[in-house]
Amino acid sequence: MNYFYDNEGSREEVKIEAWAWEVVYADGSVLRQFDEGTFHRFQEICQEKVAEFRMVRTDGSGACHRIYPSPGMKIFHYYSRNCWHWGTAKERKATTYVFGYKEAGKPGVYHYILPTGNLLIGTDGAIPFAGDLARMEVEAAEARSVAGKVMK
Amino acid sequence: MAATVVINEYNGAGEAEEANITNSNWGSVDSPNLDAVDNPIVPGENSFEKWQKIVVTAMGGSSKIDNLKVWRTTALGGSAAHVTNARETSYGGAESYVQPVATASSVADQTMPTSEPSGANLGIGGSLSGELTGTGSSDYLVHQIQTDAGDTAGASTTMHYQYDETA
Repeated sequence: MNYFYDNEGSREEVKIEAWAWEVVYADGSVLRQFDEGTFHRFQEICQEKVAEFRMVRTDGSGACHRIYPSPGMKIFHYYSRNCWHWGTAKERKATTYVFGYKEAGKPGVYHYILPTGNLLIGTDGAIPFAGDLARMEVEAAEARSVAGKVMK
Repeated sequence: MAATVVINEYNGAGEAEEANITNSNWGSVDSPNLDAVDNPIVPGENSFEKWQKIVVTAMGGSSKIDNLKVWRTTALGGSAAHVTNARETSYGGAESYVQPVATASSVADQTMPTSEPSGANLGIGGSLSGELTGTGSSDYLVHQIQTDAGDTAGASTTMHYQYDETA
């Protein structure tokens, strides 16, 4: 399925990500980042009404990570895009899906979903090297793939 | 699609722009996408500076790009140094373009990190906390290889570029 974002009248196609957010509001309704051909921006979420925020793997496996924000918590979500050998034939990219929550007077809590689906959780600055970890996961997976072919 | 991000390089006295470069090889000429074998750095001398920008050409539904980080991994040959203007503290703001030189860079006076920086080290709009909410570019990333007379030709290293994208 193709997904589109209506950007002030101009329609932009948005490629689905490996992980996507969903929110369940207190009244039970659900807003999905990728929903029936429509792409929703994170800023469309009504933060005050969120009962559950979850990151769902979009491959149909059902894998999911959830947080349940309390009143006063502000949830966040972004992609950390890492690229090396940029532009060359060896170019590699890794996306880490970052989400979590912040609360006044407390350190933010960050959840990092690495390329293999491994989840790391830390407070502000506790895992500053997620990009390096993402690269290592990608390179390790490639090495295993090459090793598997050699074995065959 | 996600935001489309490329690296552009700028060369010559006239700031000629090479969009979406296909390599970042350093060498003895001021040229984008250069062949390092054909343009080796004489041991003891420096490469020409690289003046590059991270450029967002389409937002692809996203609303913000920020937190730019650059670093390298894998060792350089011999005792060569990789210097840059990228830094996490006391950032000097956006550099104004000057023609790349092969003398020791006066702009790139920091050591290029060899692991991921903990925070942004390349600015947008002159600030490490800058952000792009539409098409646009980073500040100039200036970097250079400075070799030692005992170094041997043929070394390579891996450049890393990272940014946060809010959709």
